[in-house]
Amino acid sequence: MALRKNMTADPTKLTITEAAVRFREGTLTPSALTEAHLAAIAQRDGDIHAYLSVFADEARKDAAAADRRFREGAAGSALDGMPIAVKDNILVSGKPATAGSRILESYVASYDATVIAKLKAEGAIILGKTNLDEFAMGASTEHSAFGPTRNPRDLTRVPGGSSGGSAAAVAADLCAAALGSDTGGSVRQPAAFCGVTGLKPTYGRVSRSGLIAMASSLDQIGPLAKCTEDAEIVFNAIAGHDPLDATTHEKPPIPNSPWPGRQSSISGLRVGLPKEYFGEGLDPRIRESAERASEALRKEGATISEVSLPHTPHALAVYYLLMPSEVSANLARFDGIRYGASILRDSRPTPYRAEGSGSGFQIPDSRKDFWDVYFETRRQFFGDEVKRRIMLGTFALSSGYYDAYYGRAQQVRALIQRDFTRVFTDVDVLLTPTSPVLPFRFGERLEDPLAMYLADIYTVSANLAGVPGLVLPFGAVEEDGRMLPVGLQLMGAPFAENTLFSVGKALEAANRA
Amino acid sequence: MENKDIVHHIAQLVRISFTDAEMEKFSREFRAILDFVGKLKEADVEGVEPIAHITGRENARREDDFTDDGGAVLPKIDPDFLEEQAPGHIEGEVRVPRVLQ
Repeated sequence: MALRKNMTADPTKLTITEAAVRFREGTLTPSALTEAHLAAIAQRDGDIHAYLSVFADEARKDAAAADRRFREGAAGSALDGMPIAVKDNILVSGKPATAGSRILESYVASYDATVIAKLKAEGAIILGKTNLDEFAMGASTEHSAFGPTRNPRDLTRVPGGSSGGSAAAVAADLCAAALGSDTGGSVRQPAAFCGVTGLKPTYGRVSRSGLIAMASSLDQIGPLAKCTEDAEIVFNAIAGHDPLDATTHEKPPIPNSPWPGRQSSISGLRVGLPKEYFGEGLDPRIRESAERASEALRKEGATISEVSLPHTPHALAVYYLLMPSEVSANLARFDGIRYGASILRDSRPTPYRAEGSGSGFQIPDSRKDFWDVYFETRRQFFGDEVKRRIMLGTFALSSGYYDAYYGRAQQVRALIQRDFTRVFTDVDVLLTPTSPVLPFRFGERLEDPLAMYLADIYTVSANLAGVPGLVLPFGAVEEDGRMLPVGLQLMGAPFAENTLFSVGKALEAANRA
Repeated sequence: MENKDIVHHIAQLVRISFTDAEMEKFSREFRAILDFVGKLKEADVEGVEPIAHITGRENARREDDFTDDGGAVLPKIDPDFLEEQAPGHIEGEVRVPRVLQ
């Protein structure tokens, strides 16, 4: 069923469901849709800079193959022939995967991430790779080594981050849907800033094999899309057990919540408003939007109550200890020896060629030793935010400080998870703001790392507790003559994504009415 | 240890070289961030077990079998392709600078 009746001639504005109906009717072909997206990219992405690379030739070839499947009646999946954008920290075989970093600027992926293999198997077309904060560390894409992405709703503002390129590509109709990754809000906050829908699935729901690791106990790949139904379609395509990621579940457990989800009505649904998410620092216009949303759900038969997640005030501190700790371990692999940029290669214009095959390097006159390769490569090719987090994490794990910082953070993480376990015996879903502020302007938070970290205040808890979070646009606020989107967040019990989709669709219906 | 000494020590551990000016800036930012995360000292964690795995998953075991029929089939990767990614390589091996002088 099409979510919104879209009679416009521009196929890039169609939802996945709407486009799939046209593919089947024969009133639109995958090739025509792909060409429309490529034309939109050529026309508008110079200003937006959502993409780091676009695979026009292969996308055309894959689209032609999809055309044939529809002509021959061989197409099956809802994603067949659908052009998808992919965050540039997810591997696509034979394609660059920069992770927004100079250290991987010329790296080429040697295999498909599991999510990419699954999308390809469904017939989806990989259109290109999108911009991000370096190694997904940031909330604005200003930390990308290749320049920031601009918010399509207002080009003077950031698109959020770190999946800012994917969110902007969806918002500007430069793809049908996109993949992002979310470690502390990196799918949800840019979805809110750009006015699109984004899902951070339950930890262990989607394979992370082929995702360039940031913080492994928190990372999760999720879709960004034009509406809840589209996000659900992409989620269903990428979710599932994967032998290459031992954290994925063979059989997702039944959610604790008695709400079965997948119902056409939300009558009887219990919605909680956690009071810690509506305190000081929240823009009153965002609060007002959340209140209108809860009223809309009440009208549809849901019961609304105030609830408490008492350890919320500690969540950001826990996150900014555990995440950097895992970052410092994961990014140790970038050593200038095995792959990626290196002072052995990239700062030497004419490398010494060894006898026989392959290329070598010359030991410089200064007799630089082994250590210099590490120290200089990492100095030259990592950005400041990455260095900051590696340092902070190494400190939190170091002898003498481990118990006071890392160990304590792991204990408080357990308390945060208990908060969620308890609250989901009382309610089925939590409704919260996504960000305390509207999309901010370039440079506003760049010089103060802590101010940037505060952008994650409502999103990190879902990662710490492993629960799913769905963000969708609900209303807009006029500022300086531009309409800026407001994104609300729904959180559910582990593996209760279906509940979130049901509530998301109800809110979309209310928003249209 | 003084904040600056700690930052110098950590810089050694993380294998990143810094200029004096960068070191100054990082020390300042480091202090602000540590003050912020230091708030965790207020949390009451008496008797709380540190979290091990967020979804309570136990060790995931599989047969020790890497054939196509086995559990974990890694994508097939061309060794030459991997070799080409290394800054220095010769005849299938990665070259590194002299370790012992």
